[in-house]
Amino acid sequence: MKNILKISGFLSLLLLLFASCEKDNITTTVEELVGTEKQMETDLKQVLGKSPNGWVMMVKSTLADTACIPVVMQFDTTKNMVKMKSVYGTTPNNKSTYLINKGVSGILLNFSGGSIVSSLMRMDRSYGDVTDYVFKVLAVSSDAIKIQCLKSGEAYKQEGGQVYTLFKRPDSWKWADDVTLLDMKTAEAKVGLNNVNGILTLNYIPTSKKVNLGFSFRNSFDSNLAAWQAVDPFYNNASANVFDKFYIFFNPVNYSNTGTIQTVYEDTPVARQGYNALCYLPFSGNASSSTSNAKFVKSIKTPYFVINEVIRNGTNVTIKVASYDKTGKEYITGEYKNFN
Amino acid sequence: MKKYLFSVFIFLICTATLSSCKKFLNEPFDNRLELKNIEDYAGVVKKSYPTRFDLFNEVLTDNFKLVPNLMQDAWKPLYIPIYMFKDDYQHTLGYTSPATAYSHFYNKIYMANLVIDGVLSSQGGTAEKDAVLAEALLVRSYCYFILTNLFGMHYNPATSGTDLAVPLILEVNKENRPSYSRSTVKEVYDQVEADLYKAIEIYEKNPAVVPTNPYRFSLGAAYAFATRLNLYKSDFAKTVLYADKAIGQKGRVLRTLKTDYDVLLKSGWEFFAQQFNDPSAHPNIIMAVQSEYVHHPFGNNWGGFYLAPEVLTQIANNDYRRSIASNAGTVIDNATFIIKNNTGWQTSRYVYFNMEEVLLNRAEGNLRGTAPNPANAVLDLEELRKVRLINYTALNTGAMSNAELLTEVYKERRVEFLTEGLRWYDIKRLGLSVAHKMDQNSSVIDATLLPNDKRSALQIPVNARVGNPVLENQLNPR
Amino acid sequence: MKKLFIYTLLILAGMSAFVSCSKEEKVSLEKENLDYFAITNKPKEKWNALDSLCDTLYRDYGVKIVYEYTPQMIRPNDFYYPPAYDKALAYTRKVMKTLWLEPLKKNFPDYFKKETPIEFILMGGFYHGHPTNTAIAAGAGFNGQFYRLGMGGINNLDLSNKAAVHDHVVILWHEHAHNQDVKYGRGEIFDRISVGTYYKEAWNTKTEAQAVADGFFRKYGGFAPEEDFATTVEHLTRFPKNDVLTLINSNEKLKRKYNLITKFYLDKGMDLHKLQSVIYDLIYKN
Repeated sequence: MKNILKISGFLSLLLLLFASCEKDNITTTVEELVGTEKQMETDLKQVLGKSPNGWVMMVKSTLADTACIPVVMQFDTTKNMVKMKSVYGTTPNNKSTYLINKGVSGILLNFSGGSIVSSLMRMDRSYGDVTDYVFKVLAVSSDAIKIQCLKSGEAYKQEGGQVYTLFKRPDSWKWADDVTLLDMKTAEAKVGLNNVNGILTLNYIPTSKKVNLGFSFRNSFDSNLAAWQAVDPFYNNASANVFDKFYIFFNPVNYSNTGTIQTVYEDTPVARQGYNALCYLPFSGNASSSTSNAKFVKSIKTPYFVINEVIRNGTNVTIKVASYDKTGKEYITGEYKNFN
Repeated sequence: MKKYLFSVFIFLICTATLSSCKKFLNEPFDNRLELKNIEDYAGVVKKSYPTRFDLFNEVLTDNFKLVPNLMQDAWKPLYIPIYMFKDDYQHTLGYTSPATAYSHFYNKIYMANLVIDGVLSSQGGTAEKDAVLAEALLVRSYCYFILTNLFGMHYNPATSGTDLAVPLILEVNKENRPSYSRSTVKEVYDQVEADLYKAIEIYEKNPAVVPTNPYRFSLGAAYAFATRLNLYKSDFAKTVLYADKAIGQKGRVLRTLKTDYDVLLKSGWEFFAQQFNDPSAHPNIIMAVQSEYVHHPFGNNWGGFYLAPEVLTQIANNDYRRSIASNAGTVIDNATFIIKNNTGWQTSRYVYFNMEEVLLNRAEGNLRGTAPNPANAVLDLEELRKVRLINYTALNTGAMSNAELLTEVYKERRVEFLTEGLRWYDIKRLGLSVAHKMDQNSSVIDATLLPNDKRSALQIPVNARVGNPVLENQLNPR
Repeated sequence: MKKLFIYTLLILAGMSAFVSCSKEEKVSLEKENLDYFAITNKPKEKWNALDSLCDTLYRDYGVKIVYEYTPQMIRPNDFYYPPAYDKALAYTRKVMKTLWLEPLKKNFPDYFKKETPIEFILMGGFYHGHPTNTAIAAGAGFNGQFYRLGMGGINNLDLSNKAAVHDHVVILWHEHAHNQDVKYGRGEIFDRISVGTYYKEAWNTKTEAQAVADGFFRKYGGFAPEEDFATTVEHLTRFPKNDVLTLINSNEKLKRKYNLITKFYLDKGMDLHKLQSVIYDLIYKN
C-alpha cells in the first residue's frame, strides 16, 4: 500500500514536471526584440522632427491636482539639439543637446546636456515629478511619444519613474511661439500694468465655475533685484542653473473681489517671469513667496498661467491666460483687465 | 627438500605478514592522534578556543551606517541583508556571519565535549586532569553563551522557559546522523552557568595548575565571564561579586589609550593595529584570541560600514578614542572607522574579556542592584575616563541621579566597545531600537528593529537546517 | 523504487540534454546589445560647435572632453548634472584649452605626455549623493581614477571673474594631484608625517592658522592624508615660490611635505613653482 502511494506520488510529481515544461514556452525571439527596438529607434528619430512647433511634456507639481506644467521641446534632428520653453523661466540662448541611446531594456531618450529637464530633476517635487534626464521610450506613434524617467529618485529607489505622454504642441498655444508677448522686465511691459488696479476672471473648464480676483502688478523687487536673484532656487544651485537669473514681482491679489475693480488687496504672491508665463512656485528665501504663493496656488488650483494674448487699447490692457491639464487641454482660461 | 624449504618460506612469510598486520591494526589508519594522556587532552582544549565569528553582530547595531560605494561588491549579498535584519544573506562560510558563527561554535563545542568526555579517564595527575576539564567546560560554556545570545531572544526570566535557543549537545556524537532539537533559553543558560561555576570551583581548588596564559581561560577570565553572564541575567549582586573577584585577580588595570596613540604617532597605523590587542603590552586584556585572518565589514576602508553619526557625536573632541579613528573615501563620504582587530592579512587578534568591561559591568551592577552604590559606580566610571580623555576633568556626579549616571555608563560602554561585538547584546538586553538607512543622504529609514524585536533572535542558519529537519519546525518566528 | 527513480532521472537528463542542444543555434545577439548601455559615437554630420572644439582638442592634446552625459558615463548611485551648452562651450575654450592644456604642453612637454588624463568630464553642478538634497556637497568627484579627471560647478563659474577662474584652475591641479596620488602612491613616508593628527570630519571646525601650526597647508588638508597631499600641491600651485618658502620654514612638517612633493613632481617633469607663475601670468597678465 505504502509503495503504491509512493509510486503514485512520484508519478504525479513527474507529471507536474512535464506540465510545467510545456508552459515555459517563450514565443518572442531575440531577433524579434532587436527588430522592434530598431523600428522604435527609427520611428523616434523621425517623429521627433515631425512637429515643427515641438513636443510637449506635462510635468506634475505636488502643489496642484489637475493643472500640469508644460515644457515645450523643439527638436533639431540634424544636429541633435533641442530648444525648450517653459513657465519656470527663460533660458539664455536656449540650446541643449539630446541623444537617442540604447540600453538592453530598450531605447532611451537622453537629454544629455544641461537643460530644463536636468534642472527639474535636481529640484524638489513641488517643481515637478521629473526624476531623471534619461527616459525609457515606451511607445512611439505619429502623435504621441510615451517616455518614462529611467531612475525614480534616490540611488536605491527602483528603476522607472514617472511616465509622460508627449504630444504635439497645439497651435492655440501662442505663448510658446517665438514672439515675446509679456516680459515684465521691460519698461514697455510695465506700462498700464505696474501699480495699476485690475481684475482677473478665471473659468474652470471641467466645472464651468467662474472666479473673480482683484489683481495687480507691483515691481517692488527692482531696487535690489541682484540680491534677490541670489536666492533663486535655480540660480544658487549650480546643478540646476540653466535659466536666466530670475525676474520677480508681486501680483497683489484680492480673493473676495465682487466683479468690479477695487483698490484693496489681501495678499501679495510673488510671480516669477516665465517664458510668456507667470510662475507662482514658492521658493525659500522669501517669506511672502513661501506663504502667500502656497495659499494662492492652492486657491487658484494652478502654480502658473501662460499668456496667450496681450491686447493693448490705449491705456486699456487685456491679458488672456490659461493653465493646462495633463493632456494639454485647457483646464483654466482667464482674462485680466485693467478696466471695468 | 626444495618443497620443504618452500613451505617453510611460505610459512615464515605468512607469520610475518599476519603479525605485522596485528601491529598495523593497532595503529589508527590515518595516523590520527589518540587521546590517551592528559597532554593530549590539554592539546585539544587549547585548540578549542573559538575565533570571534560573532563580530558580524556590529552590523546589526546602531553603531554603524552603510556606505555602499566604499564596500567591496562581493560582500554586499552577505552584509546588506544582515544590516536590513533579513535572514536571506549569502551563506559564504568563512566570512563572519550567523551561518559561520553557528558552525564554528559547534565545531569548538565538539572539541570541548571530546575533552569533557574523556579527560578524567586519561593518564595523568588528578589536579591537572581537573584543570583541563575545567578549561573545556569554560570553552563550552562560552560557546553556548554566545550561541544562545545570537540565535535566541535575550534571557528573560518570564519567557526563557519557552523561548527557543540552540540545540544543547553535551556529548560526543556516536550515532550516524543524529538530529537535534532546540533547547530553551533557560536550559542553555542553566547549562552555561553549571559549566562555568563548576569550572570556577575546580580552578579555585587548584590554583597552581590553572592557566595564566592570556590566550586561555585563566581564573580572572572565568570571573570576567561570570560578570558578563550575570549582567545579562540582570543578577546585579553577582555581577558586582564576580567583578570584584576578577579585579582581585589582576588589579584594576586599564588601557592607557595615550600610550597606544603615541605608538601611532611614532610608528604609523600598521604597527599600531598590530599591537592594539596584544595582551603582553596591554595588561587590561584579560583574555584574547589570535586566529587566522577574519574579514570584518567594519574597521577598515573597504568594508562598507562606518561609524554612525550618533555614535560619533558621543565621542568628545578631547577623547583619545576619537584620535584612533581614521577616514575612508573622500570628504563627501564622511566615513569614519576605528581600527582595533587588524593584525595583518595572515592573523587577527580579538579580545574576549577586558578590564574595561569588568569595570563598566560593575558600575552598572552597582547602579541597578537592589541596594545601589552610586559612589562605587562613579569611582569605576572616572577611573576609565581618566585614561580616555585628554585634559581629564571629573563629571559633576554629585548633581547626577542614578539614572543619569547609568546613562553615562551606557555611553561609555557604547564608545569603549566599538567594533568589539558587545553592543548588539546591549541592544537586546536593554530593549533598544535600531534604525538603518540604505542611503545616508535620504530621510527614509529602510529597516527598523523595535525593542525586543523578534528579529533580534537571528534565524537558525540554512547550513544547520540541512540534514536536520527538526530545526525546520523550530524556526524563530518572523 | 530507487532504481525506477534513477532510470527516470537518467531519461529526463538525456531528454533535456537533447532538447537544449537543438535550441542553442537560434540565440544570436547583436554585439552592441551585450553592454548594458551601448556606446554610441555621434556621427560627424551631427556635430555642433562644441563637438568640433572637443574633437580639435582631442587631436591636439589627446584628451576627450565630455560635456554630454549618457547612462554609461555616470555611476548609477551618484548624481551629476550635465553643464548648460553655452557655458560648457565657453569653459572648454577658456579653461580647458587656454589655461590647462595649451600651457601644459608648451611648458612641461614630458609631464604633459605622461601624466595628462585621457578623459575630462565637465559637470554643471557638483557631486550629489542624492538627487535633490540641498546640502552643498562640492568636490569634483572624479579624482580617484587613473585616466579621468573632472571639474564641477561649471554652470556657476563666472569666466570674467579672474579670481574665481584662478581658484578654479588651482583646484583643477588639486584634483589632478589626487589622480597622481592614486597612480603612483604618495608613499608611507608622507603618511607618517602627520599620522594620528588628522582632523577627520572635524576639519571645518579648525582655523587656517591652526592648520598651518599643525602642519597642514589648508585646514581641508587636515581631513585625511589624501587631501593633505592634494592641498600641498594646490598650495604650491596657488602661491608664489617665495611665499611658499617663507611658510614652510615656519613649520617642520610643512617643510617635509614640501620636500617630498616637489621631488615627486620634479621627478615626473613638473616644476610646481613654474606652473604657479605660468597660470598666474595667463590669468592676470593678459
